[in-house]
Amino acid sequence: MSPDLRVRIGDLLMPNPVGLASGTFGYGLEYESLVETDSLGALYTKAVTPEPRTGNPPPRLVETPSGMINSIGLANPGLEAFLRDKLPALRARRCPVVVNVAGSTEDDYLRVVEAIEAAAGRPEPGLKSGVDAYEINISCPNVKHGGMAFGTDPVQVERLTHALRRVSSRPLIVKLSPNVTDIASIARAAESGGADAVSCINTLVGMVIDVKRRKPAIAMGTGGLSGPAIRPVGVACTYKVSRAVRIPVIGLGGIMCASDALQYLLAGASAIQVGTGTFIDPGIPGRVLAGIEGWMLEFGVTRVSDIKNLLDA
Amino acid sequence: MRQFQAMIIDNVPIAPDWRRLSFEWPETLPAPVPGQFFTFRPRALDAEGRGLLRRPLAVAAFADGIAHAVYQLRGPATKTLAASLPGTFLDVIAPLGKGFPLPERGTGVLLAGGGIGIGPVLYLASELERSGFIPGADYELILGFRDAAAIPEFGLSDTGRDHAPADGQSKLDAQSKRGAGILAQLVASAEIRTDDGSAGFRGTALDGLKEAASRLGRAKIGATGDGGVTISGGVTKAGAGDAGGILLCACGPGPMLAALAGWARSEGMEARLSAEQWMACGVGACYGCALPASAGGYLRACTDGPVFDSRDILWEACP
Repeated sequence: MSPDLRVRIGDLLMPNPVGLASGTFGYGLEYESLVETDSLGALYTKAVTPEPRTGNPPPRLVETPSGMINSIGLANPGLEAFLRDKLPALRARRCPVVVNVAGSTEDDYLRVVEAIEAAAGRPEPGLKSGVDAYEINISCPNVKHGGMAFGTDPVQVERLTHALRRVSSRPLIVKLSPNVTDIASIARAAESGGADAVSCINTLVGMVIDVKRRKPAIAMGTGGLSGPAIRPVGVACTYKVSRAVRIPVIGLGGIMCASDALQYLLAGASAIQVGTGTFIDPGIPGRVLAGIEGWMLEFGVTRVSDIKNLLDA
Repeated sequence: MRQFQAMIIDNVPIAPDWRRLSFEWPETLPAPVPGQFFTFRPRALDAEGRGLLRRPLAVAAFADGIAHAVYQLRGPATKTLAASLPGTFLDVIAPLGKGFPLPERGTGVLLAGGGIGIGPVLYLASELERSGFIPGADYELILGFRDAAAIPEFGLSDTGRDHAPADGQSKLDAQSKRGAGILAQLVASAEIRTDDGSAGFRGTALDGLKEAASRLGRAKIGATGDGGVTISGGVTKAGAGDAGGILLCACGPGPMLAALAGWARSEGMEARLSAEQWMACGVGACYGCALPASAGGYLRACTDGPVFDSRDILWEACP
């Protein structure tokens, strides 16, 4: 019998635990012929802000040992263009779509979610609205206002989550920053505010300096570190957060293969996301899913939701 | 575009720290357009953990189902690539990006390649010849290098081989030689400029272009009377007649592209320039490869380019 891979996040039933991380998969069409999204657990869109953002000056990327640093600056076409140009295509997706929302102020987040709610209508079973949940980005390290500034203060996190809870019945996933002293307290604040899940982790603040030119390698100086380099941090955060809250935890950071994903699931995650790994090999998300299923068969685990209870620690 | 395991046919030195990579292209995949690129996944991280991201390389020649590229040994990824033997497989995503428009017959085409940026320009030259453009009369090819030693020798492929090809590979080997031959012939026929004058003429590719433009301008005016540039592929551009119906296509280091863009602007000449930038995905998803756009904001080298109308990018502001 094939294992039960389904994952429940609030009212949303994801067919399996493997998602495509926000900011690494555009709005779903860019990887069209390379990644078969229909069979995956969820597609998390690039962030949507109320206004169009051109993003940060280049260079925006640098490779690091087992990772990369980016400072894109939430470049996106803005809410209006998202509703007009992106949402119709997302509606045609067979896998659940989680829209990532960002802003500089609480009002920004509310404006985006309210407008998408108005455009997508009330969620109804079996009806594809193009948005099945929201991921609230309070952890982007690359913008001057909002972003990570929200995600480091439990009071603001609870208030923002609570405000968003009142304008949408769709599941709310709060994306946490690892750049804090106590990530568990931020997760608890999101839970108190009414979040259905938390995802962890966003990128770690990092910097590379070109010593020949005596300049930072990327224009903004610092950026967000991702890739296998941060996986142990992500697994540890998942472990801590999943013991601090009752809502599901979605783990991400440096997942390149099924074994990496299983570390997150054993640490306490209900689902995972592949981000930088998709850049390196678009075949990774599909192989991670197949590998999780293979591991479950090998170890006689019938439900993916049971894996979090199997850690021998 | 597609991701595939490409069999390496050749991977040979052509100049100090430069190599030619040749690999099998899937039969069912459309041939690359000049200016388009592919990304490859480095096989392994180096001792410092570097070499994670895919690297982009432009197609330099395409013949008999084999794609050729030239690359420079710069860092961990290209060093790993240099160690990859013929007969082994490389993880490739291709074809990517927007290439050069193939100009209509009657257009005078100036081609300029600088350093390791010669690849896409050589491919465009071979495609122009294939569609009947005559070197010297319909197009001029100028290649700029640091010095004589940096000029690639595509004939080196036989001496550079460190093992005998397997039996089944002999046909592929012959096909690969054809691509190498095209590249060798193009470099031999090009006007060479070197910074130190140790080969060809001393000076930059731009110096060569200025002279070539007047030669080509005379040839074109003699041949067609006037010449508005009409770009095939559905995009028609008028108003290029001022420069005698000449289109400039180039690829090279940033300062060279900035100089060429400035010159084309002052001459009222249409120019298509191929840019280089770090990228993570190569397919338009990550927004990492941004270039400053003339209209404000940024354009992505991977999907908005890498070949741009020179007027669309602020070349002087490119990092």
